[in-house]
Amino acid sequence: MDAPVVVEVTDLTKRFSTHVIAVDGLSFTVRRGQVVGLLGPNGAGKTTTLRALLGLVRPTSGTMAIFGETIRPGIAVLSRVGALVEGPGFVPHLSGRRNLELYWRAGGSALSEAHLEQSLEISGLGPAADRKVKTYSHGMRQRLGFAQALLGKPELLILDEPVNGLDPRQIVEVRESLLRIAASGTTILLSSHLLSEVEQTCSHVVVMHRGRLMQAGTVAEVTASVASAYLEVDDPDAAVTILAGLPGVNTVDPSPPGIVVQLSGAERSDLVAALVKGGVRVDTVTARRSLEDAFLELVGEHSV
Amino acid sequence: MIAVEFAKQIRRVRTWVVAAICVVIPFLVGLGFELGGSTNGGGGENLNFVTHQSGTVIGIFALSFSSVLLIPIVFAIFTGEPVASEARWGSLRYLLIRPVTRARVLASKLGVSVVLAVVATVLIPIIGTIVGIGFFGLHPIHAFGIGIGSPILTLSVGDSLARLLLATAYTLFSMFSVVGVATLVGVATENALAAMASGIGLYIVSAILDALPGLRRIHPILPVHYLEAWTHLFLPGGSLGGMTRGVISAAIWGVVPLVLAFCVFQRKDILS
Repeated sequence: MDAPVVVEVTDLTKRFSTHVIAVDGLSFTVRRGQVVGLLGPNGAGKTTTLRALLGLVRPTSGTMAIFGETIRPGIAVLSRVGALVEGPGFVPHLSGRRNLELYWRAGGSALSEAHLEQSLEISGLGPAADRKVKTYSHGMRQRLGFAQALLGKPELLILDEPVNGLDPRQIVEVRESLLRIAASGTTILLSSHLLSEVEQTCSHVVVMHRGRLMQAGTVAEVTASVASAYLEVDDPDAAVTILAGLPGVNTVDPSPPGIVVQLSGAERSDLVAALVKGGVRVDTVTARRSLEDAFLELVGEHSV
Repeated sequence: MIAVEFAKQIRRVRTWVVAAICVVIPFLVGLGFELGGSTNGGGGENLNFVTHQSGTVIGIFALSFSSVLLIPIVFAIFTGEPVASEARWGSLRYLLIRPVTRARVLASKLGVSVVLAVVATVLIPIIGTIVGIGFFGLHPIHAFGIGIGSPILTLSVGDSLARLLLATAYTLFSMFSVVGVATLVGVATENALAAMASGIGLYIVSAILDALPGLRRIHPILPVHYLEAWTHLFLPGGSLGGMTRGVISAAIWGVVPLVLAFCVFQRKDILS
């Protein structure tokens, strides 16, 4: 049984001018409870996709729906969504706390309905929440933006490059709070050009390049689709012969001091078992392909 | 949303700088007349008083001196900027995905800006009159027209105050054109400076065109053409025709760009 669909993007195209196509026929689905990473290099169309989903940008063609409601500017269903798009944005001459209060009240809801203290707590701003935003560092603004996105306990979080500009400690903190929020049942759609980030935070990944969908699936699926292994053994020649004859192995190439094996179904453990059985001692086995390799390969195929 | 917008704008430095200017200018006008004694001051060609020794006259001159440039600038600053500032801060997108509908965002920003601009500019004749009362007290005023043997128009204190009120209301309504153009440019470009400059530029360009006799035919459609029509209120035999046409002109110059501004904002891709 699949979880209910939260975000449905169908054939989304956004053309800014005749020469600039930011998003080109993109379709993907986000289901409840998933943490989906929209992955792609800068300029892949990730931000435009998220802006279109939030009704900020009018699609040239295609449709988008959140919780089954077709998106148009200012649609009420957005109140169930928390978002951080292309960096935080605050009124500089007011305090962080005041900004959150005004943001919340602008939507016409009573302040008591906002999870203000809880969100500020997550932001970790402490007493700085009462200082004017113009005195904040980039990281503090980013964390306040994160708090703003969480104010309404959203069922869906849309985060554009959530760790951009944060220092390593803050990145870990954001990652941990994302995992906590996801664990509480919130669906998350985030964009990133950092593969490691998506690999560590997301359950699913949508790979984009030049506005187009490259691949979508679980992180494991995308990684596996171009999986390979790197081995170092005591007798490379014998190993090449043994491995080349195994089922589920695509190519075997010596890559001194080791061997690179492209897999098409076989597991790395199968390789080790076969080598040991054939009397070859295995020194090192690594998953040569991380999501990064997979990504580069996917993108590389389509680069000019 | 209106309360929220008010909270944002009232704490801005520019709000208070503009308010301070609107308080200081009428002081200077009053002081000028106090120091200048009985010599006849400037003002529009229709403003001639037997004596300046009355509070209302100072209020009238304070309004006259500021209506050509200061008041349009104040309106351009207040109404051209809010959408552009919010875009520059990056908070506009969050307002729109809160969600607040675009029409509501623009309407509340426009409403609060206009109210603040009105409050600031209304200070000019009010403070002018108060300062004038301080210097000269409050007396009936005697106005005369140009030309020898022109009759004298005598206005009681109550009548002169009522006419000053009407003149102020007329001047503020004339600013509809600045509000419209500044709002349209502010929304379209998301550039506060461009918005303010276009609001003021509209006035400067049309004042120049209005001064060129060769362009007499287009003068009636220029937004500044009827700006000083209120001075007829203080002119013997003055007519209200200019003010009536001025109200119609300002309404057109205001409504057309404002409708356009709402359409542009409604359809715009928010990329800020």
